[in-house]
Amino acid sequence: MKRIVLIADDSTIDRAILKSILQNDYAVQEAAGGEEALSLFERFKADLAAIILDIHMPDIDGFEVIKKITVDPKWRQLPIIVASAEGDVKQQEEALRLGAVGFVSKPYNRPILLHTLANAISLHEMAALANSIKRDDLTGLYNREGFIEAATPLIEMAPPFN
Amino acid sequence: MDEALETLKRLGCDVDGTLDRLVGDEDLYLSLLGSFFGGGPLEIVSADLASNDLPAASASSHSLKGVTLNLGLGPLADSAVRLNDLLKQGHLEEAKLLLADMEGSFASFYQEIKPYLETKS
Repeated sequence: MKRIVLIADDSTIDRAILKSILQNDYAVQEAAGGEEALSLFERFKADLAAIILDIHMPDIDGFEVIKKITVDPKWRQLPIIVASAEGDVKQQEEALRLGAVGFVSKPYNRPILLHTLANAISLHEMAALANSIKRDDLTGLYNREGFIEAATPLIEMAPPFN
Repeated sequence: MDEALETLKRLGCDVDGTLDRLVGDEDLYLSLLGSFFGGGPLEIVSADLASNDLPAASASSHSLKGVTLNLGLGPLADSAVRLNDLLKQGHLEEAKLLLADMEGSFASFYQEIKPYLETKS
């Protein structure tokens, strides 16, 4: 089954181009604005592999969408890649500061976009797997190995006991 | 189809790069060009500039820049980039002059490719 990627861009043409790049490898959900992106996020979030988000959208811009998604720690690690026209350095910085994992410029370069997305998804899935290994399936609490790994640096930071 | 693509190349378009984005789908390329020119590509920017709404004009010119770059529209994309730069720097009057030039160049471009777009629809 293909991984699901949510794309959000108010330009029908830019969405069509992005979809044509992705659709051989991913199941694409399309949003025509920030509000629809948040609505589709709520609907598909459990199965979403990543989001590609245009910054300039007339209703809710990409920055707001990132803030609303990452406010919940559960989704803070979901890969969000920001798309915008070339040269928007300040916007790239802001998007990365808010938690986006990468940036793709228009005009899209198909191999770069696909590699950026695949790498982001792969890192996210590996991190999720590593995290699941350290936790008990039933309780969600750290297992013995996970506890030792998490506690060791804290113990080392603690002042010596006299 | 070949004639349409040759015309686009002659007009300075990045046909190969755009077709790569569209995974070689030439029909989709012409269909998207039809949507772009049929939608009055400069109308929103023009209306924003006419009302001296700098933030709106900056945003709409930014969208125009993104679409023209993604469609590989060469010289039209170059002017859209310049227009967006002027508006980001707050040069409203210079942007209006540039837009007037762009209206001419967009119209000429459309006249050249219109026969192929109409054949497709």
